[in-house]
Amino acid sequence: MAEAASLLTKEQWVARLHAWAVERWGQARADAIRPDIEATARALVQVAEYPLEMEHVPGFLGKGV
Amino acid sequence: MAEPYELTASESARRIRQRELSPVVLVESLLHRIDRLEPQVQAWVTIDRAGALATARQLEEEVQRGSTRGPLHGVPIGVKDIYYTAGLKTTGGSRIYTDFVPSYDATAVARLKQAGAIILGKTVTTEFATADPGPTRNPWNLAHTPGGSSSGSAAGVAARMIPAALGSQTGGSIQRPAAYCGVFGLKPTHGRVSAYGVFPVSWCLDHIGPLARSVADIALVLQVLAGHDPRDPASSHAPVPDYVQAVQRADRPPRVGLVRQFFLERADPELRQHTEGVAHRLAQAGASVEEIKLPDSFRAVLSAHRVIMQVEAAAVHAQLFRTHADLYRPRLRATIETGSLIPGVYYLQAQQIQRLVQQDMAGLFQHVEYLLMPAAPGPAPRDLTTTGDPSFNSPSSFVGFPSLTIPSGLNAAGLPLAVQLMGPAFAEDRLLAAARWCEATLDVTLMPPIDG
Repeated sequence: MAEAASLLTKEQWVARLHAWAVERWGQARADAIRPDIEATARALVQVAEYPLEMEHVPGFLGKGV
Repeated sequence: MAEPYELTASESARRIRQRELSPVVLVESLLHRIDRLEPQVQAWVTIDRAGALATARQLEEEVQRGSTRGPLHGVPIGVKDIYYTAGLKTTGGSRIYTDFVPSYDATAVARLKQAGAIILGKTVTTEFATADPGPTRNPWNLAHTPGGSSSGSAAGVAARMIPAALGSQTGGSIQRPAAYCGVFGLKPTHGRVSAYGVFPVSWCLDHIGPLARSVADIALVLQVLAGHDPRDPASSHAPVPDYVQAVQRADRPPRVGLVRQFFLERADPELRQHTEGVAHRLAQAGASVEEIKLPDSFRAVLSAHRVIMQVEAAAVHAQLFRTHADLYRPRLRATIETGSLIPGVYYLQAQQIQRLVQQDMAGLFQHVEYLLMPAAPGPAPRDLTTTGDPSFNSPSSFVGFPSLTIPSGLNAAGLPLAVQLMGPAFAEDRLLAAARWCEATLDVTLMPPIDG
C-alpha cells in the first residue's frame, strides 16, 4: 500500500484519510476533523515526495542530536 | 529600591546568599503580586502558598546558619503544569487529570529543589501542552493570547509574579509565549535537559527549558537542569559547561547569520522592519551580520514536523484516548484522531528528513556562529481562542538545536517583539554568551503596563 500511496495527490490523500477516519472514528468525527485531515494530507504529499536516498536513515528512534 | 517581586532570579539568589533578602519576604512579595494580578492574568493552576512559605522559612534558617543548598537557594520558581510534582496537583491542563497528585518529582523539578529553589506553584499549560488554549491572558494586553503551550510560565514571568519558570516545547511552546510576553525563553538542545516526569507530547520533538527575564537567569536555571538522566532514554551524556560563567564572560561580538528566507518573508511587516533594525544595531556595535540561505531540505521541515508530532502524540495518548475521548478538547482530539491514521512508512520518512535537515542546518554553523531571525511571525494575536502560529519555532524543535527568544522591543500597539538566536547542538554556553552580548547591546527592559 505504501508504494501506491506515495503517488497520491493531496486530494487523494484527503479522500483516503477521510475514509479511514470514518471507519475508525465514525462519520461525525471524520467530518469534524476534516481541516486536520487536509493539513495532514498536504504534509504527507511533501514528505512522500521528498527525494530520500538509501543512506539517509535515522539513527535510532528517540535519540536527539 | 526595587520591590522583591521585581528582582531577577540571579539578583534574588545573590541577595539571599548575602543575607540581604529573606526568602520568606520574597515569597510573600510574589504572593501579594499574584493576589493583585491573577484575577486578570490567570497564569496559575495551583499556588502552593503553605508549602512555599514553609520551604522559605526552612531555607531562611539554613542561610542564617551559613548553609545554602545550591545556586537557587531561596529563589521561587514556577513550574508548568505538565511536570510531575510530588504531593502537588498536576493536571496537564486536562479534564482527565483534574485531581491527579503525583508521588514523585520530574527530574527537572527534583534538580530545582536540590539547588534550593522554592516551587511556588504550577503554571497554566494548554491541554497536554498542545494547542487548546487555557485561561491565561497576555499581561501586555488582556485581549491578546499569551501564546502557548507554556502560557502561564511566560505570562507569570512577564507580570513579575515569578522570576523564572519551567516551560516545554514540541513546536514553539517556550519560544513563542516568551516572544509574545516579552521575556527570554530557551529551548535547549534535544536531550540536554531530562524530560523524565513530564507529560510527553512527542518523544522526538519534546524539549524542556526555562523562561526568565534575563540571559543570566536562563543560564542560572539551565545550569541546574542540564545533565544526563538515566531515566530519560533521550537524555544526553554530553558534558555540561559552565553556563553562568560563560554569560559573565560574554564580551565578544558574535558572527551572526540573518535568515531572511522563510522567516522575514513570512513575518508581519512591522516585525520584519524591526528585525532588520535589530540586525543593524548589532552590526553597528561590532557583530558580524551577513544574510544566510537555508538548505534546500528546510522546505520539508514543517510537513515532517507535523507528521512526527501527530503520530507520536497519537501513540502517547492511545490508551487514555480509548477510555476518555470525550474529555479531550477539540484540537488535541483532532490531532490524535488524524495522527492515528498516518501510515508508518511516512512517519519513518519524516524522521529521515529530520536527520537530513539536522545535518544540513549544522553545516550553516561552519559559516556563521548563530542564526538570527524573528521569534514569532508577529506580535501576540488579539485572539484568545488560539495560542498563535508556532511555525518560526518548529524548525528549532525539529532539528533539536538550541534556540533562545530575546525580547527586542515593542510594536506601535505596545506589544512585545522578539528575535531568536539559534546555535549548534550542545553549544548553549556560547549561545548564551552571544545572547548576553545582544541583550547588553539592545538594552531592552520590558515591563507590562498592568497593575491590580
